[in-house]
Amino acid sequence: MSKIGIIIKREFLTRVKKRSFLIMTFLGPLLFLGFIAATFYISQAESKVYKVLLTDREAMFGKVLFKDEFKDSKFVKFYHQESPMTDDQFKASEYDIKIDLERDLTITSAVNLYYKTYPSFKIQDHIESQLTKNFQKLNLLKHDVTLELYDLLKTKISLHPIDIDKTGTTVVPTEVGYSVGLMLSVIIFMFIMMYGQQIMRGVMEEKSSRIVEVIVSSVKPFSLMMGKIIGVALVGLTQFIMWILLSSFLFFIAGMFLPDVFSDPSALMEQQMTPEMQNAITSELGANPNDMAKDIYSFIHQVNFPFIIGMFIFYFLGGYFLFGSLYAAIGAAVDSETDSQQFMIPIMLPLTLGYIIAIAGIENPESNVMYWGSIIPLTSPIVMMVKVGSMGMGFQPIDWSLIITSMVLLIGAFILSVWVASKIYRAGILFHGKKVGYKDLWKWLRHG
Amino acid sequence: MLKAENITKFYQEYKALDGVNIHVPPQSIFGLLGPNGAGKTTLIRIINQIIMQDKGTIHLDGKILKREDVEMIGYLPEERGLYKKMKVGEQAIYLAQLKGMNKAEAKRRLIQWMEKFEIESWWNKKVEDLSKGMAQKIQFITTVIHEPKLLILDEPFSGFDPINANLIKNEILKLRDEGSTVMLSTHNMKSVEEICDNISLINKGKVILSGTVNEVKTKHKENIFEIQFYGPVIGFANSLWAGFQLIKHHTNEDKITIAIVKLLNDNSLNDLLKNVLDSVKIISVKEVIPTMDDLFIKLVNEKEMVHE
Repeated sequence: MSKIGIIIKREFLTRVKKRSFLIMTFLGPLLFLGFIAATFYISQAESKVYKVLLTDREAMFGKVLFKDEFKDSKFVKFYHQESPMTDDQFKASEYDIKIDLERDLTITSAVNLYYKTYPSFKIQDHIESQLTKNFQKLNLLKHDVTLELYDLLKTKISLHPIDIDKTGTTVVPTEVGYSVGLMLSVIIFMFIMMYGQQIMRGVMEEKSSRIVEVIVSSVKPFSLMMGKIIGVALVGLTQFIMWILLSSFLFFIAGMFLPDVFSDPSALMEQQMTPEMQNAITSELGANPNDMAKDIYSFIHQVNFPFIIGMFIFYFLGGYFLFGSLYAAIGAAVDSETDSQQFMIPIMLPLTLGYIIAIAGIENPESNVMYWGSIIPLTSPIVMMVKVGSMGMGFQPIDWSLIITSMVLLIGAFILSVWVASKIYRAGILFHGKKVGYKDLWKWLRHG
Repeated sequence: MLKAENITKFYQEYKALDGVNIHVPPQSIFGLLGPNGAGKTTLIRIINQIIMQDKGTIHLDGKILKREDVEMIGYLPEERGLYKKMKVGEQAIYLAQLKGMNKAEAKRRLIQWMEKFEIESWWNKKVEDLSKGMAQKIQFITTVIHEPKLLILDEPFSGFDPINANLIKNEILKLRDEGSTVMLSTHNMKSVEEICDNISLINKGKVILSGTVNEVKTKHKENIFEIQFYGPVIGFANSLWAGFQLIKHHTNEDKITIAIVKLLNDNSLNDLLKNVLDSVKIISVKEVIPTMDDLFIKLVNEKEMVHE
C-alpha cells in the first residue's frame, strides 16, 4: 500500500471506530424515523369525534337547503337545530361544541364557538372552512348568483412554464425541481461544514501533540494533508450511505407495521389537508388525482437521474476538496480552536452566501446572481445544485456551456486552494508558540 | 555516511544556517552540539527533508540525498509526540509502515522490542494512559523499529530517569556496534564525552568546532597542569618565576596541596618540575584536559564576545 493509502486507512478507521460515529450512524436514521412516526402519531392524536351543534334560530340554512352541505370529517360531525340552546342545556347535552348562527354573522364575519374541551386547530380549521364555504353560498343566493356562475368566477389561472425546445414534457410545478436542487445544496453545505471541521481538528491534534514532526519525516506534508482530507471524505460518504441504507431498511420495516404513512405518504398528506386544500392543489395542477398520479409517473421517467447524480458527486467532491484543504490549512496555522475563529470567516462567508443565493434562486432561477453564483467556484458547489435540479428534471435545458465553465473553474480553484493550503500547512504544522495572523499566512505563502 | 556541505537556510530575512559543513563517519556516534537557537534543529530537519535548504548539498552513503532515503533514517524529535487516543501497538505499526515496512514485519520487530524492554503488556494501552517516561520508550522504539542506517536523535535522554537514560544509552551504543550511524543533538556534555566519537559545535548558524572528542579536547588544552605535593605553598609559589602562573591551589586535610599551574612562554613541564623540586615533595603531576562542558561554555562565550 502506498504511504498516502496507509494514511487514508488510518484516518478512516480511527474515525469510523469511534463511539460517536457509530452512535450517529445508527441513531441518525432512528431519530429521523422517530420524527416521522411522532408526526404521524401527533396527527392521529384526535381520540374523539367532536359533535358540533349548529343552532340556526332564523333558519337561514334550513331555508336555503344548505343544511346538508356541512361536510363531516373523520373527527367532526355536524348537527343542526333551529331552536337555540341555553348554556346549561349545552352542558347537559351530548354535544361537544355549540355554535349559534345569527343574521349579523354576515356583517361581523365572526361567530362564537362554545366548547367543553378545547378542540385542536385541525378541528377548528375544519369547522371554520365549512362555515365559510356555506356562508359564501348563502350570500351568493342572496344576490341571485347561481352556483355555476360562482364556480366560473372562482376560476384560477395557473402557469405551466414549458420550454419551447421541450414542449409537452412537464406538468409538475418547476418549484419541485428547484426544491430538489436546494435539498442537494443543503446536503453539500452541511457536509462541507461538518467534515471540514473534522479535518481542521485532526490537523490541530497532530500539531499540538507534536507527532506531526515524526510523520513528516516519513511522508511529504502534502501526502499527510491529502491523506487526511480523503480519509475524512470517505468517513462522510460512509455515514451518508449508511444513513440511506438504514433509513430505507427502517422505512421498509416500519411500512409493514404502519402501512398508512410509510408506504403511502399521501395518506398522511390527506389527513393533514382540508378538502379545500386538496381541491386547490387539484385545480392548481389542472388535473384530477388520477391524472396527477399518471403525470408524476411520467415525470419520474423524465428525470435525468445520471445527470443529477453525476453532477451532485462532482460538485460534492469539488466543494469538499476546495474548502477541506482550506480547513486543513487553518488547522495547521493555529495552536488551539479559539485561535481558528479569525480564519473561519473567509470560509463561512462564501458558503453562507452560496446558501442564500441558492434559496433566493428558487424565486428567480434565471437571475444574474444565480448565474454568477454557479460560475464562481467558492459558491458554485452550492448554487449550481439548484440549477442542476431544474435541468435534470427537464424544466430547463441542460446548459452545457455554463456547466463546463463552472466545472473547469471549480477544478482550477480546487487545485489552487490545495496548493495554497499545502504551503500554509507545511510551514504551519511546525510553527508553535506565537499567535498566527493573516500576515504570517501571507509570509508562509510567499516563502513556503 | 552523511556529509552536509555548505548548508545555508534562511527564514525570511533571518539566516538560520550559514554554510554549515558536517561529516558523520559510518558506524559512529556523532554529537551535534550548540546552544539553544544555534540552528541544530534546522539542520536536523533539513537532513530529514522536512524542510529544504536554500543552498548546499547533503550526501548520504556517497549519493545526493533523495526523498526515498527517509526510509533509511530514524528520527526522534526533541518535542516528542504520539497520537494520544491511539493504542501503542497499532500506533507503532502505523509509524513503521510509513517508514516503508510491511505490517507483518513491523509487528514481528515490535514484539521483539517490547519484549526487550519488558513492556509487552502495553500493547493495547492508549498513549494517553502512559506516563511520560513510558511514552518516551515507545517513541524510541518507533524511531528504531525499521532498523535505520542513520539514526537522528534530538535530546534522546531528556525525560528519562537515570536508569532508563542508561538503558537508552546502551541501546544507542549497541545500535552503533551493529552498524548504525547515530547523530545526536544534546546539551548533556557528559553523555557526549561518554558516547560520542565525533562532534560539531554550532553557534549562530555556523560550525565553530569539529573533530573527534579527543582531538577537540587536545586541541583546546592550554598547557595547564595539576601538581600534588607535600610542603609549603609559599615556597612552591616563590619558586615559580615569570614563566609560570599559579592559577589556584588548595591544601586538603592530609596536608596535600593541589596546585593548578599554567605554563607561560615556551616553558615545558620539565622546566616547571626543575623549579619546584627543591621546595616541595611532588606526589603526582597530570595535564588538565578541558571537559566538553568547559569547551562548550568557552567557545560559545568567545563567539558572543567577538560578535559584541
